[in-house]
Amino acid sequence: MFICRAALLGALCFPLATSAVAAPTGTAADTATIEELLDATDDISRGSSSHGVMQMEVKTARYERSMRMELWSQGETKSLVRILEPVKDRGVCTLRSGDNIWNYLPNVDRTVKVPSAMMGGAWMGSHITNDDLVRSSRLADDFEATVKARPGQAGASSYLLELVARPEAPVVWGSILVQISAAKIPEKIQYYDESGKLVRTMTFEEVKVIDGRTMPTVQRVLPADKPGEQTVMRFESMDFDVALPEATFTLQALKP
Amino acid sequence: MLMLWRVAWRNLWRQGRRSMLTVSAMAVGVALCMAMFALIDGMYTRMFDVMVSQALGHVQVHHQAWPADQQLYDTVPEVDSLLAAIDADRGVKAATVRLSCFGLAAGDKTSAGARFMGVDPDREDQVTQLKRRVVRGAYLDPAKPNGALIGAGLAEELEVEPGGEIVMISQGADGSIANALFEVVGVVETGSTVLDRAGVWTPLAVLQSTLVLPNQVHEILILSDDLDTLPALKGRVEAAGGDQLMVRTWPEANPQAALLIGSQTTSKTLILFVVFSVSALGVLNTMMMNVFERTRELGVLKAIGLSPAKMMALVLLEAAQLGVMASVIGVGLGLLIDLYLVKVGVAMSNSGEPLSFGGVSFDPIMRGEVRAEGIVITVVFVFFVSIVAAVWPGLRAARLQPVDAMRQR
Repeated sequence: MFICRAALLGALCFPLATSAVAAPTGTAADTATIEELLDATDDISRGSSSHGVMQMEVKTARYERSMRMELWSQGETKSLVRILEPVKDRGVCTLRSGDNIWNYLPNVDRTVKVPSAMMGGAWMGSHITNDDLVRSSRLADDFEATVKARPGQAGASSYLLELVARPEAPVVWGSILVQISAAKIPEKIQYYDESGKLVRTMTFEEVKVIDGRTMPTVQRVLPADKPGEQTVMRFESMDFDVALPEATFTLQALKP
Repeated sequence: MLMLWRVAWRNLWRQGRRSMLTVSAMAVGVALCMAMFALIDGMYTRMFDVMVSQALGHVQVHHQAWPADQQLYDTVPEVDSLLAAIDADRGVKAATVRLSCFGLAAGDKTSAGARFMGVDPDREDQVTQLKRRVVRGAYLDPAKPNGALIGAGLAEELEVEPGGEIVMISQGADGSIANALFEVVGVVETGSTVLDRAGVWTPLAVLQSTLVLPNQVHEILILSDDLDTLPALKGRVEAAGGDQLMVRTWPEANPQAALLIGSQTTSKTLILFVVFSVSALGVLNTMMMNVFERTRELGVLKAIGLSPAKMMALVLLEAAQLGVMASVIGVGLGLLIDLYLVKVGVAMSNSGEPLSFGGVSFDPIMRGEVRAEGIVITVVFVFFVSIVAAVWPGLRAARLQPVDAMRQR
């Protein structure tokens, strides 16, 4: 079970796989409950464990950079990323376990825990923050959801969910708009701050069947305040429910 | 006039005890003022050193976008030719270049946010006297390209001492993970609370390559010998650099610091005012009593032909003599106190912990700084005040009608 409160995590945090939800289609769509739709969003990537390779392209006003990385995950809270390319950053690892993140830096042969003050910082120069990597609560816990549109109604082709943060919920967003296809695969998520301003948009594209699961293989993060900038994640390969040794997610395993 | 002076002197000693009491009250006032001035000057000199000379420079040069955003990319354009022009300027005492970034500094056990500053060790020392701030270990050494200095607070937080290692993690200009391993060569106490808690100083070249900003710097800080001609120096630097530069004098760069440092004038004025209003009342009282008691006598003087102007002069002279005596005794006493404040200092905190004010930390023992200006102002002021305070009694004396005055008992 892997989740990310923002689906971001899902992508990044590596266990990828869309859900058990992938199977039902067609007629059942009209009757989908809010719970099912939220689960589908939470579990864009889900699997008891996973192993895969991802390409990440970051485009900012200042630089463009492309990385290839190998990902492992287990359960909802453990994941590991190792950079394969570019050569300069090869071997850099990020280990997430629970709420903590460690980076291994081969240049200096040190493992450094990311302190809470740096959790808001960009991960690997992308538009994803360290915080995005560790959030793992479910949308239904923090947001009040209403269905704004259903496929087939008033010309809509997708579900549109509006999620408003509960007053006491420990989240940075004020509200979230989620667009989900009739096949219950998320297409677009828009994040708004508390004053109702769009902060970022995520899109999910190129739905394919990988290792027996139907999932979007491309995720795009578009920060609203920086037009033209984006981070794109493309999954090259993914295996689910693989047997991973316990030691995979330990600090010792970070060194090559 | 000489006669009046002698008469005035003799009059003062007819009530010797009263005069001496007034003189000693005024003298204590003078001495206290001098002591307060010495303490204030000591404190503000330190604030100026820490907040201005060591942190802002007298004139600073940045890319125009740097002050607002402090983005890694906002480096000073064509820094080599600009620096050559600055070095050649006769108004420049020293100049230093810095590349800086925020990032993570990690020791063996813990890590903390830090501000990394890549500096040229010699230039940095000329401007900020960083070498003198090293409290443990040694200063940056060109032979150790990966040596770093860290602030005392940060050293404590990371539990590292000279000889230990810290890892730097930040983001490079190309988006890569900027990381480097530094050997801590020394620990510094700069007096700036912020820098002591978060500062890491490394040789410039290492930080330039780590951040992928070859030959670039974020700021140039300039010290000048003449603080009064900074705007002219600023103009020359602006002319030497491109139009993407932002050149600022220190009050422009940090108006709050300017305000804080400017506030010493207010403090001093306030102290002068309080101490000398008390002195003025003392003089007024003494001279009033003198005039009342000697009404008959003054009436006689008037009757034998002393003009009102001379009567006035007589009273003012007496007051002036009080002022002179108070100045001499007060300055003597004040110099003794100043000597103590400079040599020994005052303990400002019982715990022995440094105090901090305005982001500048002070030694728990505060030391005075004596300036001739402070003494001159005090003396001139006490003299002026005693004369002004005697104007009213003087007027009374000048206006006496000889017949009425002589009739009084």
